[in-house]
Amino acid sequence: MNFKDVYKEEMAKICAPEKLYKADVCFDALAGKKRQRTLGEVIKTRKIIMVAVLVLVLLAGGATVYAAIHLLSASDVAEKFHQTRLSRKFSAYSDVCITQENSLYRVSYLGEVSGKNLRKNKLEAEMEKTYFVLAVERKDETDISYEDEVEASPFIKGVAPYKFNIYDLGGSAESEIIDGVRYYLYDCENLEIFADYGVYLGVSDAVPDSDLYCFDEETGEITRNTDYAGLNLLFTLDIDRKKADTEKAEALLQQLKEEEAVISNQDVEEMEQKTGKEHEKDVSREKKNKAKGESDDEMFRTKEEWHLLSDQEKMKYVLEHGTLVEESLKTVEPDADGKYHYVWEGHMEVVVNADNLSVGEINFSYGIGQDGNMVYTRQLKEDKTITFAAYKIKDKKLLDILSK
Amino acid sequence: MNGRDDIEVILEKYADMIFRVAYVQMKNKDEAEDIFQEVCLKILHHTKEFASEEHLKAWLIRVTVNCCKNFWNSAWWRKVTVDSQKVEMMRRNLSEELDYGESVTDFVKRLPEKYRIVIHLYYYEEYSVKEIAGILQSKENTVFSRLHRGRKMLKDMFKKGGKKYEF
Repeated sequence: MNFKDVYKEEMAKICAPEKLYKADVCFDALAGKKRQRTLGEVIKTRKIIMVAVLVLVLLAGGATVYAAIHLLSASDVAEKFHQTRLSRKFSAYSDVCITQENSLYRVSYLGEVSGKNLRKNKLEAEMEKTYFVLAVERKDETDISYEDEVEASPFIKGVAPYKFNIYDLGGSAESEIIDGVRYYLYDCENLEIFADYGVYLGVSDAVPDSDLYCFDEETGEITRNTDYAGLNLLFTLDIDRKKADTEKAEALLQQLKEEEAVISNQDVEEMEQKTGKEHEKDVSREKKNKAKGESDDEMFRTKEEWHLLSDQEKMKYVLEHGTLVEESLKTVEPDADGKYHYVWEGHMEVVVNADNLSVGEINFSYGIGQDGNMVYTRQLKEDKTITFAAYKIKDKKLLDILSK
Repeated sequence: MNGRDDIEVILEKYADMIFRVAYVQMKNKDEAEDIFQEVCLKILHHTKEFASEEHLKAWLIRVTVNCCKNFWNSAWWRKVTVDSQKVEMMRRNLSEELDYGESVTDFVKRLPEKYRIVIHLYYYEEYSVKEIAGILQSKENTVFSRLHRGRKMLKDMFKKGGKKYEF
């Protein structure tokens, strides 16, 4: 049975109850929710004004603190998200406001805290996490909207941002607009363990990649790409080095390397075709080659790993584990229509075109014929000919994988 | 976008899709219904036009996934007392361990959240890895990795359950 077919059949039976989207019921329910939300906002707005007035009185309004006055503190933001413990922790440990801006947005970093059981969430409460808060405003002083989205991501010094960022750190975020400012509360895996490395925080309008941030391979420094036209701010986080846990940090980075190593070559090629990210392939192959060097007998264990091998490596494996059937080896020229007519007398006859082949690339297929289990190969040469060959295979592992 | 007629059209067309994404994430229909209403609110507040039908569909999925995350992070917990939280935690823990059936969907529901959504979007909605990365605002290699791991976890679970499915 095919997983996809069964899953689709089962999921097709899961339908939204009509009461959820049929006009009258739906809109009545939504109206109720809107009223509830509006009331909450009013209460909160009053509180914000009180806090702002209090801070104004206490600090007597200097220019350098003005930015902090009109923004909520990280503690207030956590409270806004009903995270009382987190709010207390922010209140005790974090009271900063560092602001950077580009032509459109002003982004203020309001601090970070780390620890266990800081959040009301049974799934994550026990986990050691880092929480950080950002405030994003429009520079033209108009109210921000939910269409103004930013991405924030910690980066680790020594690791390229596109290789290790918020997604690898299990990050998530929630946000609310309060008085025209969009506040983000982010969480991710504990960043304190990376204190020895050095931690940055990128705030951008796109997924962090090499277009947004530059990575110096030698020093490990990460900097903004100043040629980037959009938002690509970069904060440096001041994390207490006493809290560094290099062993844990290395283990996490090692896990990342292992995850990258399982990305199949086939998938990466698909990705390249669609995005042109050549570096992804290089990284993946580099990892694979390294792994291969450590254990040549274990060139692959799964179908994905088979596809991860280069054509040369696949061919080497087929040659080592199979026997070329001499009569099958033929080089065929294209006919007037560009078709290649391959005949292995009494065994196989196919007509193919070269549309899906690149010069030098070897195409592998599997079949069971009168000669037993075979792997068929075809390779397009520079002179536009295709060389066909069949190999008799007894290697169970390869047969299992190719026959799936 | 926020005209009542527009929303009705969107909901008529995409209600099941939204509900299924919410269901896969929340793992039960009651909470999926709550998420559905949150998504309706987001649609109501959305003011910009969508460039295409695909853009709208992707936006709806992303909003649904985000609503689920927000729900886990806060909303559900606002409504319950400490004691009832404990009771509910016990109920949910038990249900996670014992109440799953043997359907393929039940196996998918046992996967961690980040794998569930990728598996669902890939196999049910038939999005490519690149499209999923775009919808989830994730890296493509992260999606690949999760898809690979999710499949492996499923295979292991199927094997333990004496089932065999081809991927």
